[in-house]
Amino acid sequence: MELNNLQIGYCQEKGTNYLSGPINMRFQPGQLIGIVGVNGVGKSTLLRTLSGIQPPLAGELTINGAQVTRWNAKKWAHQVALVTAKHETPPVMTVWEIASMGRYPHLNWWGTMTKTDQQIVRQVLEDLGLSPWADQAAEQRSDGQKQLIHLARAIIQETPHLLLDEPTTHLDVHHSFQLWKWLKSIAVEQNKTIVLTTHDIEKALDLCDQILVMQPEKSSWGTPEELIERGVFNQLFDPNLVSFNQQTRQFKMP
Amino acid sequence: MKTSISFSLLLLLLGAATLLNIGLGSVWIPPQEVFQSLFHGPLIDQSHEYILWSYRAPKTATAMAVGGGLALCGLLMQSLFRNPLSGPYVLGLSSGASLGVSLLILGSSIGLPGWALIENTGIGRIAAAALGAVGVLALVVATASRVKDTMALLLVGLMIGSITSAVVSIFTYLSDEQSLKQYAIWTMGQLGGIQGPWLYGLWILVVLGVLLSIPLAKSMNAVLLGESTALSLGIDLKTYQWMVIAITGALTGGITALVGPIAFVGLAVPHLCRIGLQTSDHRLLIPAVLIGGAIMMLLCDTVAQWPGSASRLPINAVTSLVGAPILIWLIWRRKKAFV
Repeated sequence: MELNNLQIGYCQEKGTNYLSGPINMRFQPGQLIGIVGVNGVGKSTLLRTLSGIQPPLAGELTINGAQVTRWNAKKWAHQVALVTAKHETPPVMTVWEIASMGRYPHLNWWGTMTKTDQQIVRQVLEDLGLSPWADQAAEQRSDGQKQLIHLARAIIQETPHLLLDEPTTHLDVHHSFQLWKWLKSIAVEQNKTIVLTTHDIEKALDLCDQILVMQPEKSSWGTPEELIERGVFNQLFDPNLVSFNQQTRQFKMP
Repeated sequence: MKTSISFSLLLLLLGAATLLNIGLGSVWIPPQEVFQSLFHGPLIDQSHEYILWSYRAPKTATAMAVGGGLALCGLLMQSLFRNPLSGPYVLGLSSGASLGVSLLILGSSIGLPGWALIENTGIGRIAAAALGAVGVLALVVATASRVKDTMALLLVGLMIGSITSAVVSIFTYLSDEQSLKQYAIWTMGQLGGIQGPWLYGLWILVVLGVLLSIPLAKSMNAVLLGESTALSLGIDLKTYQWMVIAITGALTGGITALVGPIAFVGLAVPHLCRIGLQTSDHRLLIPAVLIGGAIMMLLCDTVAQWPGSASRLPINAVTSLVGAPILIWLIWRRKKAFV
């Protein structure tokens, strides 16, 4: 996936509302990519644009060298899976039912699952430790487990790209660390590109291969080391409130 | 396994409700006579034979199509608006259809210019009702795209109902006695009297609606997870939305034109089916609401045709008396889901 001078935002009656500056970056398979930035800078909008739900305002987006502008929803669904920040867990749906919806792009019009499809769902639920609750109502699981159910759904979609909007929100430290670990290993083992937005910059610096720092004027892109070197994090927040220590890679109150 | 038991039970109930509906009325026609007439030729009792085939059977067939069709509309609308309180009646579609029909029936009597050209026929009534329903649906869809609020939608439906009744009362004041009576009878709902080509037409409309809805089941399931997620699962949302609007507009319009506005069947039946089957899989819910809607309508009609009595209650009053408490019970039961 490659972004050239991509501009995102919304077309409104009063005019075009650009969020952040032009974005240039390139994702490789097997990488964990972090997107960070202050609230409202357009992290979620970028994910929506990268999953084909919302068209870009300007610039170019290519996947495997192909222009995506004329892709239909089905074609997108074979390339990119998305887990939104506000995912919905309808009452009376079981963990299995929600997870197996990830197979939808691969199924016929009626949604008939083959043995292979069922095997894929079973395996992913097993991998994420969700098997014991497969037949139980998803609504009754904890927030952390709901997050995992939707992640399972996205993995089951078997796309080369996996986009996650703030997957670690609502998770305690234990589950958050566990999720990071999983994502890292899924990226490497299944050779997927995983892109996630997060407010946990310190964790992103530890685990992500590349990071996009979104800012209203100009976004920065690079490996954690490059970005630290360039002093990007020192300018990200108001220096009177937050300071970044380049040695410890941590944010502190000055 | 659990599903097949539930469906067998539903079908059994449907059979019982059908026999009850055919049998009960001013005279009781027992099930064995119904079967005899159906499989072994005419009954000896000619009056029973006549009542059965010229009055009871068409009415039963009408009730089944109306109930199934309206329940399907409710299911489709609850999916489209992602709102459990949606239904053709509460969102004002039936009111829109009523407005269309009142314009037609009452408009000619108060001498609106050019009105004499449009004949107050069945076809005209269906067209007027369908236009009214689709018009209201367009308004509700426009509202839904602007305000993401459950209550706002219902308020719009309520306001449309108020506008309709205001316009209708102006017409009522101005129009003559005969058309007034015609309109009043129509609003009470009339399942009897739909015969021959009209009955076939109603069934064709409902069957078409069902056939067009079946391919939407997968989209309806995906939309449960939110529109963004549905899109990312490869669902063609635009097609799905337009199909739902077309199907509900045509079904509500057609049904309302023929039998009058029927309250609450569309809203209540999908909920009862979800609770009964413990599923939100629309591949099961579509057949379930069709059977469930038919059962509810048959039972309501049986109550309306008070056994042994020659007079009948307005069907709309009965569905309201049955449906509204169900709605209240649903809100009590899971108040969380309705906020």
